[in-house]
Amino acid sequence: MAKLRVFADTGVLVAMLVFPQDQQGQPTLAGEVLQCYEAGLFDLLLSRAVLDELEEVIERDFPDYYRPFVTLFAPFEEQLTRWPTPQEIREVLPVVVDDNDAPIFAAALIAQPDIVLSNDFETFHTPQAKAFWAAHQIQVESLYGLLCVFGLRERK
Amino acid sequence: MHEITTDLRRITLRVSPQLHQNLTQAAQEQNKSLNHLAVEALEEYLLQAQERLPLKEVSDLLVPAAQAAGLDEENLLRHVKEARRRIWQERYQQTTQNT
Repeated sequence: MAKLRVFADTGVLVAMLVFPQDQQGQPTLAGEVLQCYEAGLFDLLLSRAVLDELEEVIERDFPDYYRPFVTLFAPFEEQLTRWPTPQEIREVLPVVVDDNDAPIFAAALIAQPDIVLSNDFETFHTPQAKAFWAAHQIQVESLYGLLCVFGLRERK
Repeated sequence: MHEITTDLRRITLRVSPQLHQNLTQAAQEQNKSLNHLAVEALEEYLLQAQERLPLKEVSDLLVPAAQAAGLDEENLLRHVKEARRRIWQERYQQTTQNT
């Protein structure tokens, strides 16, 4: 059976990379999703648009680790999906609450994932956004929701 | 892809009776020897590990750095939003409106 293809929003990636454990050392939801990825339960689709944001945050908040980060990801450059075109961005503008998010929505469409993963409920999980993802046969899930997909949590 | 070679090494694995039974059944269903099935599974594991993004490696670097600097998730998510806004304004906004 083909593995699920998951497109992760930048915020989710930050949570997975920087906050995989809580202060008691227990895995957070992001940490559990990271464990699922390491266990090979899903393929992660990464866009150049998302990686640009991630690189900017790392350069700003972790300047000593910017170069190692870029070096670690360099071999995967060809796997990244491309930047969206202006036309592709225009097409998603009516769906987004904030125009700033349009490139990420367009980038998600280019990646053609099974699931868009985001904990940004005000942007990715609005009724309008959900209808948009559904129209493109894409499921949108939170970190908790993705764990439900893998049977590790129950839907509330 | 299973590599054909005459230079072979032996490894001994200890597995539960249930896993042994499941592997044996899977090998029979695929008309393969248990050894062949196990070798294929190990090769597949290594292939997938090579293709996996280095998230764990990056996390191992960033977690202690974030703790040392006292960074919290709310602040970092705000910085993501700021990066998104800047990228939109500098790279996309004008071309999207003008094209």
